[in-house]
Amino acid sequence: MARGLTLALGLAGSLGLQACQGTLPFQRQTLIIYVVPPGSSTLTKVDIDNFWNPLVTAYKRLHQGVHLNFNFVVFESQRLKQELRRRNSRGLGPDLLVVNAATAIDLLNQGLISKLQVPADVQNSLQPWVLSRVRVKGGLAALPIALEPQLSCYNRSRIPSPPATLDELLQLAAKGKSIGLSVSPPNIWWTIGPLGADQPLQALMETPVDRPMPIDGRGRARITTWLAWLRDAARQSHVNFFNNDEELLTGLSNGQLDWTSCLSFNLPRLQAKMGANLGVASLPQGPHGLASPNSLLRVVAFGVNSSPQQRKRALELGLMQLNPLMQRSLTLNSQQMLPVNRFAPAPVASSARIQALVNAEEQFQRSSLFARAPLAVNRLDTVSPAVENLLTQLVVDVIGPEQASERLIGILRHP
Amino acid sequence: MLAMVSWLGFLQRPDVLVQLLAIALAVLLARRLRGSPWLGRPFRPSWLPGWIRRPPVALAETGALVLAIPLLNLAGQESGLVLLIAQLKAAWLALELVEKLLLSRWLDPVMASRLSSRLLRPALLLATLLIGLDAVDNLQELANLPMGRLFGSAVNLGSLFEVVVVLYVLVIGSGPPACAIGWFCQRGLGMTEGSRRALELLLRYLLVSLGVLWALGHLGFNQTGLFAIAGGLSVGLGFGVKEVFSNFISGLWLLFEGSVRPGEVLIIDGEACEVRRLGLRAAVLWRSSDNAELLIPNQTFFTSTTATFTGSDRMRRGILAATLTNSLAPSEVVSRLEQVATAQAGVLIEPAAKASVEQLGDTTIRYKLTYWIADPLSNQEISSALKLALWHNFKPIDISLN
Repeated sequence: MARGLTLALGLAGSLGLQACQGTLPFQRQTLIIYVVPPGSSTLTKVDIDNFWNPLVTAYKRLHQGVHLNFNFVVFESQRLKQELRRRNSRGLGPDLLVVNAATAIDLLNQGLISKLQVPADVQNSLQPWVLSRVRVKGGLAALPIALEPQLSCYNRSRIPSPPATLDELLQLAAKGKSIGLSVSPPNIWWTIGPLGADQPLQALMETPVDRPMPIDGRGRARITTWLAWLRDAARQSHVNFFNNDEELLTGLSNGQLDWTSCLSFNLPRLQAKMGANLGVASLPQGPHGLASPNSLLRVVAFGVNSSPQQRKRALELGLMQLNPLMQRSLTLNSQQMLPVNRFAPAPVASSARIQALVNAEEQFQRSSLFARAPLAVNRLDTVSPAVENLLTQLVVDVIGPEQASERLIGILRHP
Repeated sequence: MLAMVSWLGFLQRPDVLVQLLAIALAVLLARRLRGSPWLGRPFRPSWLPGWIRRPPVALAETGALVLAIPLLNLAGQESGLVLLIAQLKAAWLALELVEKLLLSRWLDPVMASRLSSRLLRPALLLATLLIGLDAVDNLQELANLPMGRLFGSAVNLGSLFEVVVVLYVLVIGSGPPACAIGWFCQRGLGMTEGSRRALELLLRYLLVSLGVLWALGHLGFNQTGLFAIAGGLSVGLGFGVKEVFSNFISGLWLLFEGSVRPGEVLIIDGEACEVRRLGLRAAVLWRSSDNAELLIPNQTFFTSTTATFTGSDRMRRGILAATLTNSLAPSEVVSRLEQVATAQAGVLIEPAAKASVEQLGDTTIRYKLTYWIADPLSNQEISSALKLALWHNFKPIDISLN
């Protein structure tokens, strides 16, 4: 037994050393890559192939002496931290992780990924506000690779032209079109801008708890107006609110819903089910301005267990994704992501969908709370379950907008 | 396959290599020190229990692995892999303890060995493999790997695995619960031993059938698929699987009828055999004369005449033919034959042994002795003992017995 174990370990060690030196018959190095879909979204192998295959092909073309194996592992975001903690402690953590910027910052704060230093020219090539979302003391938490904005997704066979305003959205519902909205804060927060509640809500989320109340009666009224719109929308028979964002997507792809908000991340999945019927547009504006959608910044983060060789290859792969040509082809191939490299403009002329993505991203830049106050968003993450519960009570008429407004202020002030 | 090759990538990491080295050293040291004389008396005072002074190998190895963890942490190294191996070792050690301390005391050796080798050890082995897979990959994602389509339903690796495990557990593990229900029914309803065994078998069939139905549902078989299977079976029944199906139905019928149940004693080729098991295809019978096990297709009992000693009762009547010279009065011989038979161990008092004159010859008289025994299978031994007793009793008169 002991002899067998020694032999096995000796063999393993020898294989490891040979692998390090690239002298194995197959001369391959391996990168373990965790892909973490946002929220409760799901990801298939086809999605991963679509994203990574062009990159891997380009990498192999560029580094012909290097043979890399990739092992893609999909993890749900809910159990990512726990899994990383366990796997890192065994030395079996990933070399690369594809996550959201906010998740990367959180993981770095908990010591679950490692910081990276990026050359100045690479940093210069990134949009400044993109860089600011991943910059931490002493480096970057992760490498930004793409943007995935929130937009409106609809069934073109039922809705020939998408609603441009919130009024038009409710008119569609009045005409019998089925509208799906979410009570999950990151998903419904796009309505706070058009209804004027974004400023007071931002003030509430940014102001430390020990400071005086940052909003006055007018701010409270704006929040109440927003909540009243949600309650009124919920009273319409063809407007349905869902707790789970996944239900919205399933409803749209199954034909139960005609319009809903969605993250561009989910477009390939919807496209596969709906085909040409899938319509995409920026979210409706309101009396107070543009929609205030979310936009995910997808980043590549680096694990803590990699060997120096693995780390080097991982960084090469990550940096390659920022190449303007790769960024452009990423946008064209995926039709769901926008480039983060400022020298790689989105090819809007080649696709109406990319144009819609760009419009949605502009909305995000100009009016979204998520863009203006990314740190405040962390507080929203903390209170998200409580806010979701509150909005659920509002849309089922258990509480009125005034009461909901007071309780929401309380939740955001004292998370 | 590619994923398996890529797991080798972990061996490129110093963190993993250091831990593997620590595991190897801990295991080797534990083995060496456990039997080493120089780690002798000062470390092993005689007042300590034996299992501490010289612990089992697995315990020593687990202890060494646990001790390696703080050392690795002190050196600033990861130690989760060592902890995982220690936990798995501890689990196997715990199983050994359960087998030695509990199973061997509560269950008979054959049952304990069966439970261990067919259920507990495979379960722990499976758990170990799954934990190992989960350590290097994502088990949930592996479970979602598509395995193709069956009758219009997509089947993935996870559901297929669940079905195989549940069916295995049902086939192997349905025994003890069925035994328990059988035991309660026997106590509560006053069932015979044979009826109890039949009930157990029926319960097991029922559980396995329910398991198969669940498995089909779990795999997402639609009704069309089930009809297609039923159609295929009906054609198959006409050709290849006719005999199998016939044997299965015969087995069920025999159980319900109660004519051939485990525990029954039947005459097969002129010898008494006990029914041990009534399986799906065949019955297993035990022949006491040569300790052979006979595998007889169920439909044999269904289509041919079978003699049983255990239909309405378990008594068997034995017959001996004795031939003696006419030097003794027949009445005395009859009386002595009955006395010897009655005194013989294993021969029942009631109904009483009966001797009679069969044939009167010129020089010899032939007698017939009939006796009853409780255990049909011990006829040969009792008959032999009785013949010896008669020979001794009638000595020096010549007696011929057959």
